[in-house]
Amino acid sequence: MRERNVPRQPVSDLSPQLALIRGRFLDRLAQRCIEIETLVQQIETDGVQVDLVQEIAGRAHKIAGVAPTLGFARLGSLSVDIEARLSKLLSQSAWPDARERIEAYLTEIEAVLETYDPI
Amino acid sequence: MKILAVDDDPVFAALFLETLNQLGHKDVTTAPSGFDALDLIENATVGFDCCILDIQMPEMNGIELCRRIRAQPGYADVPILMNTVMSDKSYIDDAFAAGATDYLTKPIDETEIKSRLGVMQMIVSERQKSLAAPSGRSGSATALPSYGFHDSIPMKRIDGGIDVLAMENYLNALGLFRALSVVAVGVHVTNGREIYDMEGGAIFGDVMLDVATCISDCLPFSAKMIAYKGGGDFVCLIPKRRERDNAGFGDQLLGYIAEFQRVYDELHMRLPIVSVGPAMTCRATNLTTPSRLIDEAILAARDFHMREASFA
Repeated sequence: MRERNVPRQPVSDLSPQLALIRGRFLDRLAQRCIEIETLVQQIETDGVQVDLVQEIAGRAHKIAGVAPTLGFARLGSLSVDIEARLSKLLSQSAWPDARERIEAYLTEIEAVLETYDPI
Repeated sequence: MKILAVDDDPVFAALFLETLNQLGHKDVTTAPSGFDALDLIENATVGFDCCILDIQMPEMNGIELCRRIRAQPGYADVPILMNTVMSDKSYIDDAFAAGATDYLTKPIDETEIKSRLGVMQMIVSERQKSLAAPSGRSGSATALPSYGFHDSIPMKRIDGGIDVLAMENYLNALGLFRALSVVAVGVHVTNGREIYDMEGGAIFGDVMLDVATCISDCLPFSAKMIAYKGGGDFVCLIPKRRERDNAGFGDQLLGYIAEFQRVYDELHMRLPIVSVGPAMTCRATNLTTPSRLIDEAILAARDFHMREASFA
């Protein structure tokens, strides 16, 4: 089991506006988690394709831009790492390692989602 | 300051808007795409003072949007900041080549935004003052803008031209390690003061643009940046891999300027005399501020009298 280092900041500590934005971020994060899982499955089935890998990198990119500001620093740094790794040309032989990292990334996303404290 | 912020991620856009509001920037418009941003610009009754663009967007990325905003009437000198997670050098190069003034990195850092937008506010204020001020030239001789001797002159119409502030920001965005991949060459117009005193600020501006054109012609490749700092001082940034191609840069520049001799004679004007400095690279002393390379290149050009030659 990976160490989960997610701050459990209650929504009440945030300004109403920031709490709203965090809620929207977490909603989209849940969608992106499912999308990334689907893309991973597609790569498993069809083999490594640049477009599919870039789709995952693009989602990590968007998460990286917001997560640290909302208190999810670890998720932010993992997103930067995933984006950087997937932005390079990925060979089929490099996929198992990449997949392992993506799985760890998805675990972190799920940990963050568990902290979601609905308003 | 009227700000246009463009980002396709609605969550980031909302967070950024909230941050700007908290920093006191209340007049902020957001757009979810480059096309929406261009629509807003084209239909705005009062233009935007500053644009902040995400780089990675579908359909039209921020670099292309920056290029298109620069082409809009009245937006040649409006500060444009690029806002992105990536710090990849190729994106930085492309962004500044497209006309970006500065570069912000995600995630949001309030201190950085406050500092950078503070500088942008100063640029906007100076720009508004210069637009409001009466021209230094009287009569209908020309509609040329008039400059003070130490004023920076926009170089955007020159191939590779860039504001000196944008060049400073570019070097600082690169950081010391990546800034080692470029060399800076200073060019000093040694009789600049004389030309300014004799011809006035408007003609002086044109002469400096002639010099900039000659500098640009001497560097026949796209990866170059040319900035004018004022006081007859230019700086060129050239990729280090191109350094060997520029061994004859000084002599070639003197030759190109000499081609203006007849025209200047007919106008009874003095031809600019230039001194070209050596290629300078970042050193350990530039660790925190690679942009100091610009001043070092200028000082070297001023001191480099061996290359000075007169065609007057």
